[in-house]
Amino acid sequence: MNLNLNQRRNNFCTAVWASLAVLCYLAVSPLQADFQKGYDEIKPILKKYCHDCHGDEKHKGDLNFEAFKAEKDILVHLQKWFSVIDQVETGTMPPEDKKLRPTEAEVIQLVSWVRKTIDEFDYDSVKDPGRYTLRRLNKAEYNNTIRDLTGVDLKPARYFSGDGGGGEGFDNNAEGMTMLPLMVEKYFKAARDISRHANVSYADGIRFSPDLSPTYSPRSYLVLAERKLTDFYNDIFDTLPKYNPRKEFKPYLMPAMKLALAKPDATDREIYDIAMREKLMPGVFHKWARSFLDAEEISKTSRWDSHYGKWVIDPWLELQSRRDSVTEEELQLFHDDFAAKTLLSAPATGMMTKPGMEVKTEIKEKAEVLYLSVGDMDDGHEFDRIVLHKPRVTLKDGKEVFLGDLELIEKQGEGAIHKENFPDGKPFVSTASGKEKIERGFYIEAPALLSFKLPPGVKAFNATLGIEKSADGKGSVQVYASDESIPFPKGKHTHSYFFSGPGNTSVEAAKKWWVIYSALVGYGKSPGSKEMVDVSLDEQGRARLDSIKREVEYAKREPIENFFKFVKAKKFAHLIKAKEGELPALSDLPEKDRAPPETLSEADQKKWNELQGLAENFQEEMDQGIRDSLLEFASRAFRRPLKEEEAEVITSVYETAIEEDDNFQKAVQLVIQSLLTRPQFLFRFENEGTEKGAQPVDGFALANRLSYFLWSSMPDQTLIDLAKEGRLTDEKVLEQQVRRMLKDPRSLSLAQEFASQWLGFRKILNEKEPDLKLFPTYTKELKESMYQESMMAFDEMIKEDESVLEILDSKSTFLNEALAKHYGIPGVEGSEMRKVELKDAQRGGFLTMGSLLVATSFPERTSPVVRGQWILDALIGGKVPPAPDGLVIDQAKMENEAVSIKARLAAHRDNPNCSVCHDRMDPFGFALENFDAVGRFRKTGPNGAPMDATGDLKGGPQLEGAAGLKHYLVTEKRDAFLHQMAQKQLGFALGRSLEYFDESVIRTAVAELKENDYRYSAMVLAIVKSFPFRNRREKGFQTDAIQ
Amino acid sequence: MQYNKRNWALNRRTVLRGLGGVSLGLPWMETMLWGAEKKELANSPLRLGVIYQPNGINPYEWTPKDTGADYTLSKTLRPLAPIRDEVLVLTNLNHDLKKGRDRPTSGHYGGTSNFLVGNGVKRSMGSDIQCGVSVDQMAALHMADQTLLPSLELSTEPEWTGVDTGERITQLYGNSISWLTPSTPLARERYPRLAFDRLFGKTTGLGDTRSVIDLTLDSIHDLQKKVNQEDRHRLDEYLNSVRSLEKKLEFSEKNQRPVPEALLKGRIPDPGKAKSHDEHLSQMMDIMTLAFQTDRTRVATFMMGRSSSGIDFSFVDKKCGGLHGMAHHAERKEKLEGYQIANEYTVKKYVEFLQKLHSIKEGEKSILDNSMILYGNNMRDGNSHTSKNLPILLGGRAGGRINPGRHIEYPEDTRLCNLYLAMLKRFGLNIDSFNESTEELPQLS
Repeated sequence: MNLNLNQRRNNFCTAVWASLAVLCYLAVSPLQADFQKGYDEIKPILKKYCHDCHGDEKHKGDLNFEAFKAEKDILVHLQKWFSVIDQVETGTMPPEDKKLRPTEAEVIQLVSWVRKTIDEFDYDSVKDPGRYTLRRLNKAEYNNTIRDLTGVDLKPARYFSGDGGGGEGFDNNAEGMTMLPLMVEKYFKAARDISRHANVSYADGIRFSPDLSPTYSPRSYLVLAERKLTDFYNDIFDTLPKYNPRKEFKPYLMPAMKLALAKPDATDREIYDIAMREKLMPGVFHKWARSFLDAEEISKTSRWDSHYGKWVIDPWLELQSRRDSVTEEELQLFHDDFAAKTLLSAPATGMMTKPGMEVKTEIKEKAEVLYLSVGDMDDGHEFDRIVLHKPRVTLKDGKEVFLGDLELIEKQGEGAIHKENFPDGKPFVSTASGKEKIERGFYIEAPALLSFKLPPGVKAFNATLGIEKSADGKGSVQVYASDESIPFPKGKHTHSYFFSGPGNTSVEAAKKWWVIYSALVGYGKSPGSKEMVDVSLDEQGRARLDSIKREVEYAKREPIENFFKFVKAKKFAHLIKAKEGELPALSDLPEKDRAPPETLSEADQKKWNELQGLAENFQEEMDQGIRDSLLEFASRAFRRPLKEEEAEVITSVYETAIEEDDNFQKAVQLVIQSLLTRPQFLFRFENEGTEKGAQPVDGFALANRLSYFLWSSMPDQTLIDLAKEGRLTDEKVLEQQVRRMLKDPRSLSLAQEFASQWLGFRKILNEKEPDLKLFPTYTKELKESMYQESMMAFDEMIKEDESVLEILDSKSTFLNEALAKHYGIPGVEGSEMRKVELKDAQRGGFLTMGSLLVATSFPERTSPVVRGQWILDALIGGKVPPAPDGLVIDQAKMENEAVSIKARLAAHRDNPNCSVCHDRMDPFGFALENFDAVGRFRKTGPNGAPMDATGDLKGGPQLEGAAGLKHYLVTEKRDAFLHQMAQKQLGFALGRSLEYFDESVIRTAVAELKENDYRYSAMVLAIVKSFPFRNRREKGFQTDAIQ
Repeated sequence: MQYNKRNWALNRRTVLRGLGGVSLGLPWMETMLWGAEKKELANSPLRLGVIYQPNGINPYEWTPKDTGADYTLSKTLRPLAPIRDEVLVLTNLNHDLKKGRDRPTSGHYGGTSNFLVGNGVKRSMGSDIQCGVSVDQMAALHMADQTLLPSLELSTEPEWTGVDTGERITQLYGNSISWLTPSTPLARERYPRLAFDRLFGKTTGLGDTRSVIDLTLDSIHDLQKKVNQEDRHRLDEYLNSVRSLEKKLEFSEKNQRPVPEALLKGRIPDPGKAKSHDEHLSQMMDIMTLAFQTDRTRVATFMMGRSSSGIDFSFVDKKCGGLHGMAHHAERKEKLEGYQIANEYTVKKYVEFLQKLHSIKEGEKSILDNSMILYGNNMRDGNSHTSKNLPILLGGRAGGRINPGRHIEYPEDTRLCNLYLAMLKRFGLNIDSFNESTEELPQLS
C-alpha cells in the first residue's frame, strides 16, 4: 500500500483546490463534529451513485462501500479512498455511460469529507510496527557487506541482476525482493569467488586480499612463512636511508670501540640506545659494535680468520685484552690506523679484473623453458645495461643453438632488449668479448625477466656477459639463468653471478680486506640489522613479529616432528602414514597407534607420552585458532552471535573438510563459501521474540536495522558490542551511535542509495541519455561530474548536519572545470570536484543540478510536464493519477518547434480532463525552462525567441524562473517538502511500503526538523527512535493494516 | 542439536547417486549426437525462441503492402529476403489495449512484462507485482527435467530499479518478458561469458559448488522450522532455487554428454562486457544456437534491449543515435531515418540467427525446421507508444506444423495470445486457451 496522506493534504491546499476547500469547509465542517455524523451525510451520495457496482451485491474492482463501517476501515483502506478521490474528482467515475452523475457540490462534499477524515485521525493511537518481511541483501548491500566483512572492496554483486523496487520507490524494499534460480546461482558463484580471496594462516586466521589467495601444501606453506619473516625485516630495512659503507663508516668506529672496551657484555638494547644517543643508524652501529665486541669470537670463524683479517684484528685483540688500561691516545691511534686501512682497501669499483665473464648453467633433462633474469645490485638499475656475447644452448649431441633463434615466450620488465644490433644498426660494444666482435649478441636493460622456449635435449646454457660500453664502470648487475621459474629480479636477488665493470684494484690485499669488511658490515646491503629492529619495535610491530614467528613455528610443526622422530627412532616407523618428503600431520599417526607400546622401557614410555602430549597440544592449538577465526567470521557474516548449533555445524564442516585433504586453507575456503550461501548471510533475519504482540527488537536486530539504514551495510564491531552489552536499545546510546554513523564515511550510502533514488539523479547513470547528436557536449565525464555533484552535495549535508532545505536551495555546490563550464560558471579549473560558492540564484539546490535537469528531460528536448511532475511528486508529494488509457495526442502538433513549448502544452489547459492535473504540474516545469535538456542555462528557446520561464500557478503566485520557483517551494511549500522527505526517508529506513499509521512517525520527524533548524540528523533520529523502527510484530499480532 | 559430522555431505551425494536409476527423462542429446540413427533424428524436439526488441518500429515502413506467399517485402523487412520462405509476417496482432488504468497492457514497463503474457500488469509500486505466466515459461514447464536448463533468459542492458512515480508503477516491469509465475518475473543474464559458462563451463562454472550445496541445504532445516509463515515463503523461494541449481548440477553430472571442443572452439566470449552492441547480440544469439544445438535447453528468450532502451545505434550508421531518442521521432524526417536504419539492423540480426539455425542439420531437417522463433516488439510506434498491430514475425516450421513464407493479415485487434496458444499447442501442450486468447490463431499451418 502506498500512503500519501500529506500529499492529499497538499493537493487540498494547493491553490487549485484552495477556493473549493474554503467553500466546502464552510459548508461541511459544522456538520462533521464527529466521524459518524459526517459519514452518515455522505452515505446517501455513495448509495445513489456507487452502490450499484461497489456495494454488497457487486463489488467491482474489489471495492465495496457498504463494507466500510468505522473510521478505521477507511484509514486502513486509504489507497482505495485515494483512488476514489482521483476518479471522482477527474470524473472518471461514475463511468461515462452512467446517466446518473453527482453534482459538483456532491463531489466536493464527498471528497472533502474523505480528506478531513484522513487528516484528523489520531495516528499515534495505533501501535503497529508494520510487517517486517524477510529481506535479502540487495546488490548495493551485498557489495558493501562483503566490503566490510572482508575489508576488500571486491564488488561481487556487479554481475547480479537488478533488484526491482517498490514501496516508496527504493530498491531495498523487502516486498519486491524475489529469490530466483539465476540469482541463487550467482550467489553460489560469488561465494566461491569471494572465498578464493581468503588468505588463511595459523597465526592470523582469515584475512582477505584483493588478489586471489592460493592455497599451499604444508611444505610450501613453511617456505612462505619463513619468507614472511624475512620480508618483515626487509620491509623495515627498505625504509632506512641509503648508506654507503665505504664512505660513511667513520662516525661509527669510535663509539663502537669505546663501547666494546667499556662494556664487553653490552646488550642489543644498550647498543640501540647508544646509536640513538649518538644519532647513528642503529643497524650499522650494531654491526660495528658487534664486530669489536665479539672480535675474539668472530676471529675463530672464517670471517676474520684469514691472513688479511689478522692484518687489522690482532692489534684490536691486543687492546681488548687490556681494556682497563687502554689510554685515550692509544685508542685514537688504533682508530686512525684502522680507518686509514679501510679507506685504502676500498676499491673504486667492483671486483672484475678482466673484461667478460663466462656464464654457464646446466639445464635439466626435459626442461622446457629457459629463464634469464637481469637485475640490479639493490642500488637501482641506472646504467644496468648488459650485453650477452654468444648466448647459446648446447644440445646433448654437442650442437649449439643461439639464444636469438629460440622463441621468446615472455618478457617482463620495461627496459629495452635488442637482438644482434641496436635498432639503428650499430653493433653492440661492451666488455663482454674483449677485442672480438660481439657474436649473435643480446642487449638487455635491467630489470628484466625473459623466458625462452627450449628445444628438446638441451644440456647447458652459455654466454659471456659484459656491461654495455656507455655504462662501463657505472653499471652493476646480477644475471641469473635457470631452467626453473624464477621471480622477477627486484633487489636482494641472491643466486647470481656478480658482475661489474673493470676497476682499479691494484692492491690484492686490500681487495681481500674488502671482502672481510663487507662480510662484517654488509657492503651493498641495507644498513639494518634484525637485532636493532627487534629492540626498537612498538607494541603493534612486536605483535606482528610474534605472530609471524608463531606462524613459522606452526608451519614447522616441530613438536609433531619430534614425536615422530622419536617414534621412528624406536623403530615404529611403519605406524606412520606420512609420505616421504612431506611435512608430518598428526593424523599421519592414527589415533589407535599413538599410545606407547608396552614393550618399551619405562623411561621411553615416559618420553613417548611426553612428546605425544606436546604434539597433540600443538595440533589442538593450531586447530583451535582456525576454528575460532572461522566462527568469528561466521558470526560477522551472520551479523549476530552464533547459536550453539550453528557453531557446531560450522566446526564439523571444517573438520570433515580437513580430514579429506590435509590442507586447512582449502578447508577454510570451502567453509567460507558455504557460509556465504547460507540464508543467515543472504537474508536479514531477526530473532523472534517470545512475547506476543508488538515487541521491541533485540539489540542485534536494531544494530542491523541501523547499519542497513545509514550505511547500506553490515553493523560494525562497535554496534555489535553495544548490542551484546544490551546497551544499544538505550535511547541515549542509540542517539550517540546515530550521530557517529552519520559522520562515518560509510554514510555516503545515503546519497548513493537513498537520495539518488528519491530525487532520481541515479537515472542519468544508465536510464536517461540525451540525444548525443543534439547535445554533443554531454560527455561521459560531464555525466559523471553531474552525478558526483549531486552525491557530494547530499553527502555534505549529512556530514555537516546541515538543513534539509539545502536540497531546495543552496548557496554552494560541487563542480569541476567541465561542469562549471557547462553551467557557465567561471574560475573553476581542473577535473577534481570541489565546493564552489554560487554567485547568483540561478543555480543552487537540486532543482538546478545538471543531473536532475537531464533526468527530467526527453532525449531531444525539455519536458515541462516531466519536470513539473517530478517537483510535485518527488519534492512536495503531490500525486497525480497516470494519464487515462487511450489518449490520442497530436504528435505533429506536439513536436512543432516553431511554437513555444508553453503554447504547445496549452492543450492541457483547454481540456478539463487534462487540466485537472496539468494545471498543477506544468507551471513548475515552465519555471525551469531556462535550463535545456542537458542542464545548460539558456535565454532563448530553440525557435530563437526569448525564453519564457514563468509559470502561472492557478490561484497562486506567478513563478519567475528557477529562483522564483525555489523561493516558492522554500516558503509556501516548506511543510509539504518536509513531510515528503520524512516520508521517503522512513520508507527507505523501514524497507517496506508505508501504512496509514506510519503518518505518526512522519509527523514527529517533521516536528523534530522544525525544532532543530531543519538539521538532517533530527529527522534520522526521529525515525530511528520511532515505534516501527524499534519494534516488530510477533506471533499473534493483530493488525488492521492490509499488509 | 547432535550433529553427526560423518553424515553431512558425502552421504548426501551418495544418496543422489543412488537415485541414478530413477530416470529424469532421457535427454534427447543421448540419442541425437553425432552419428545417431536417422530414425531417431526424426523425433527431434521442438524449440521455442523469442527475440524481443523494445521501443517500437517506424510504423510507416513495417507492414508489407500485400499478403500471401508472394507478398512484397516492406522496407524494414527487406533483410528477410534470403530466408523469407522460413518466416511468417503476422499483421494486426496485439494484446487487449484497454484493461483499465490499474491494469496497463502497454507502455514501456507494463508493455514489456506483458509482451509474452497478455493479461496486463497490476499497477503496482512493487509490493504486489502481478502479470501472468508467459508463453515461454509455459513451454519451459512442459519441458521441465528434459534438459540442463528449463529455459534460458538473456538480455543486454542493466535492469531498471525503483519506481516510475509518474506512472505509479515499479520499473521492475521493464526488465523481463519471462514470468515463471504471475508474481515472479525471471532474472536475465546479460554477460555473454556468464551465460556461456552456465551452459558449457567446467561443472557449469561453479566448481565444487555441489558439495557446498550439500553443506548449505543440510544446515537449513532447522531454520525453516523457526521462521514464521510469511518468511518461510521467502526461504522456500531460496530453497527451491538452490534445489534447481542442484538439479542442474546433478543433471550435468549424470546426463550431459560433453560437448565436443571443436564445436565450442572460438565461440567462448571474453569475460565482462561485450566489446560492442553488435558483438553482444551476435554472442548471445550464438549461445542460443549452441544451447539449442546441444539440447542444453529448448526454450530461450533474448531481450535485445530492455524497455525504453538507450542503446546507441550510431555504430550501424552515423544517422542513428540512442534508441529511445530515435524512437521519439516526433515525425521528423531525420529522426525517422535513423530509427528506420536501426529497425532494419535488428531485423537483420534476427535473420542472421535464423540462418544459423537453418544451417545446422538434424537429419533431413534443420534446427530451424524444428523451431518456432518469434520476433516481436511490445510497441508499434515508439513515438506515440501505441501498441496496436504489433510488429510480429515467426520463423521456423515447428517440425512441419507451420507453413511459413507468407504475410498474413488478420482482422484488426486480433489477440496476440491466439498466436501464443497456437505455438504452445504445436509445442505439445494440451491446452485450449492461453491467458487472453479467444481462439487458436488460424492459417499458420
